[in-house]
Amino acid sequence: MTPEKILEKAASASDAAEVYFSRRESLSVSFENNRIKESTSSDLQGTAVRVLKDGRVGFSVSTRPGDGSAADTAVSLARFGKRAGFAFPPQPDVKPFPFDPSHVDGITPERAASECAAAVERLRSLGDGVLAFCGMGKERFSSRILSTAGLDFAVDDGYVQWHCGVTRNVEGDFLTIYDYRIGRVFDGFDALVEKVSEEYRLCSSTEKIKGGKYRVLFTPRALSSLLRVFNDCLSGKAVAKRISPWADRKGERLFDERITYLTDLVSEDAPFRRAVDDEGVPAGRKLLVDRGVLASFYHNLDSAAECGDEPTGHGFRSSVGAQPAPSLFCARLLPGDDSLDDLASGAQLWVEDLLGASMSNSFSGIITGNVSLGFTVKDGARVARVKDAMLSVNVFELFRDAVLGISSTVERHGAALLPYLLLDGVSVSA
Amino acid sequence: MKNWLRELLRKADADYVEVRLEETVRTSVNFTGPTLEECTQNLSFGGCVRALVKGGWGFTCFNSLDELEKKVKLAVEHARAVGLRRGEDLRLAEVPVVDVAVPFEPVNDPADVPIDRKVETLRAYNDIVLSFDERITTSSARYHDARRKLTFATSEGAWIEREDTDLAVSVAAVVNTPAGTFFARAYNGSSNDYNVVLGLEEEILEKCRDVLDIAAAEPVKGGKYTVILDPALAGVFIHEAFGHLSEADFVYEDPHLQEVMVLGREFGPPELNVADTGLDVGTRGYLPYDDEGVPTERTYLIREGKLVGRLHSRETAAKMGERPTGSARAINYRHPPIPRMRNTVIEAGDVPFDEMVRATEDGLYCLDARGGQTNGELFTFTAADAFVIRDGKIAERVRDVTLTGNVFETLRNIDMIGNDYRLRDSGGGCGKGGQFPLPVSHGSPHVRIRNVVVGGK
Repeated sequence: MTPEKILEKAASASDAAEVYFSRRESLSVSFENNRIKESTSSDLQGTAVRVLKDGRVGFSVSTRPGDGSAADTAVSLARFGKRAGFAFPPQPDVKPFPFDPSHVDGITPERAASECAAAVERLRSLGDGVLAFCGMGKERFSSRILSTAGLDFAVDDGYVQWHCGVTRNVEGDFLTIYDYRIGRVFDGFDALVEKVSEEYRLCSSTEKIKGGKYRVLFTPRALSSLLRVFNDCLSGKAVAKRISPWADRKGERLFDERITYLTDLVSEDAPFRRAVDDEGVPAGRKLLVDRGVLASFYHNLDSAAECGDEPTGHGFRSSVGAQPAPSLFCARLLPGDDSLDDLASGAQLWVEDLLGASMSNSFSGIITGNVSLGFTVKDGARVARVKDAMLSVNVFELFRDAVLGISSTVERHGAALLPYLLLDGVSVSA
Repeated sequence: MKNWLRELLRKADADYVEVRLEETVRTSVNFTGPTLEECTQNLSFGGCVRALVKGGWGFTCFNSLDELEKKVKLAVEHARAVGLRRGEDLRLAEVPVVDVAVPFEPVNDPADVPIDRKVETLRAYNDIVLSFDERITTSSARYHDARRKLTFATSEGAWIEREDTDLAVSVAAVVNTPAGTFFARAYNGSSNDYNVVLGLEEEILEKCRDVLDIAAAEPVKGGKYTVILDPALAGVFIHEAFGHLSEADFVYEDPHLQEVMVLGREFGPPELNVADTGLDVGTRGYLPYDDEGVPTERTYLIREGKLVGRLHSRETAAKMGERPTGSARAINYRHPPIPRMRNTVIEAGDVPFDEMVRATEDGLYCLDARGGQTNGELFTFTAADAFVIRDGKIAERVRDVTLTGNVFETLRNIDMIGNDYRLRDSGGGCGKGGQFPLPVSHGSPHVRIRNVVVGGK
């Protein structure tokens, strides 16, 4: 059954209907323990149906190709569904971003295997007992959303992701260092290999530190763990459900005036560039925290209706099986005025990765994690690896009162574009 | 279909080929606050082929079963490309070739429970939370069940048809204060019985009382503590701190780690016995056959403090010269199987809980987990609730307790194991290699550990 037919079927038994079809074709090659391990491919698709019936929402999905049964199921479940505070949007006045598939299509299994093999060769030479791992993959993504409101919008996109790292597991000193990139264009393993190699060399010595308060420099990757507090508390869903402690604080100064946080789904270099979200609402650039002041929340259709706000084009589906929810991609914390060297000079610790930070209760503002990769800093230079140290960062307080500096340069971490951040008074338990 | 598929696999030009075909119907009901946010039923249908050629693996997954022959060829091509570079004479560990249809024998089959009743049960739980106290800001009540039909076939002639179910319920009370937002959660899960969803009223009331006290508690002071873990948290501890380290794909190609993880090595006190089992019918970790068609078992990992086993796939077992343990699991057809846990347990010791508390002059009593993570040597997990222990008595509540440590030191620092073993299925799951949430279970008695680092102010 075609998407049009499924829409017709759903519409015939409801007041309004929407069909979302997506297909993902991927290919990847991975190396483990210095050797090639696996080559994989996938061709996955699914069709999600959402209906509005008697003022309620019905939703169902099928991944069986051409299966229109989701239309019937969505209609039958609508009687239990949430009250719909929204209508499906009309065709937006934007066009899909053009996609040049040549960069993605140029990644063949042979090329991926060769690129990975070269990276592994360089990494394994770092020292005895080093086991290198590496992977490279590509994904072509296409989606189409159509509704009884006249919406019919297709997206064609693709990206390449590549990662590499090393492990060295000796008694009392397990070490894993890795990094990854994602983008439309593969620009080589060199930057990753050099970063991992430098960090590996810095880990040749280890320093025990004492518990207490420290000035800590967070790299873009470590900063992304702290910004989970922002991502969760700014979500329109958390606001609508009164879970976010910031629900009633729009317009208040909550942070240091150097903190400006936004999402940018339309800039040319955004890895997940989108003209519209997965509900057909135009996406864009959204200021969330403006010079320390809580400016706005990010919404999908549903959370916007619940909060009495306008949808912001952040309704994305984590998979074809999930209903659209407010989702934050392509986040940016704007850079400051400080050079990285100056920030490092003021730091006692340099933190790259926190283990367990994702389990913290972000709505309490406190992110806690063990330093899985971090260094002591002396006179602005990283000196030795820090182990067995637990950081506890009260983001609510420290982003307000203890920002010592923000770097003038930014780096991509996943889809986010983030600077380095120096915080004072970070609690360390050791 | 059966004969055709077996013949197709047998003829494939590879050292080994397997096919998994799945059809899963997943029902989800989810209240947030007074609103029924989600009441959905999704059909997930698809399959995968995995092939092995000269030590190299190829894998492909799909939703369309058309041209299955081409998909088998594609997986073999992937494997051949890897095998040509790898050139390894790998034979998977031998296992009995089974041809079986596994009966699914539920106690109270969730598929027989009308969705209206599922919604009403959740609504009643949700109402308990929302009407408990005006200081409770909001609620969350979640339920899911997933009924899966699975067909598995290999080039060796194995054929398994089976159905399984996974279900979980979780009800949370939420308090929002200027200091942050706090949760307390009642939960349960099963692989065969909808009854575990019923009768949670008292536990939900208890969690409502708890969350108000948690929100009023002071944050824990960071430092090193003697901690007593309740059975739920001790189960997560052994899963994170030792279970993942026992997954043989972590070890099998790492000579240094093999020295660390040598069988017979002493890891803990003589009272410590740790196992991982797929035999406990009804638990979320129950698994009659793994995703390589290997029958399940109870695998001892630590016996009397010494390392005695690990969790294997057929590949890791062959490479380490050990026995397959039925531990190769894939979360669904979109992923290849890798060594995973099932129901990971610390067996009962002989110390009564009261005696454990009395013997603790200063420490923390930590209850239930909000998740955990490990990188092999380091582990960290967050307690859902905690109390100070002072002068051998449980004293005031504290919040924001995250525990961390070195696996090897921490296991050696276990000095008391309770006599009150309890198994409880959570509403969550385990994540590894991009495969989350895999249904697993944990069981343990109370356990006391010295010198555990706790993060905090």
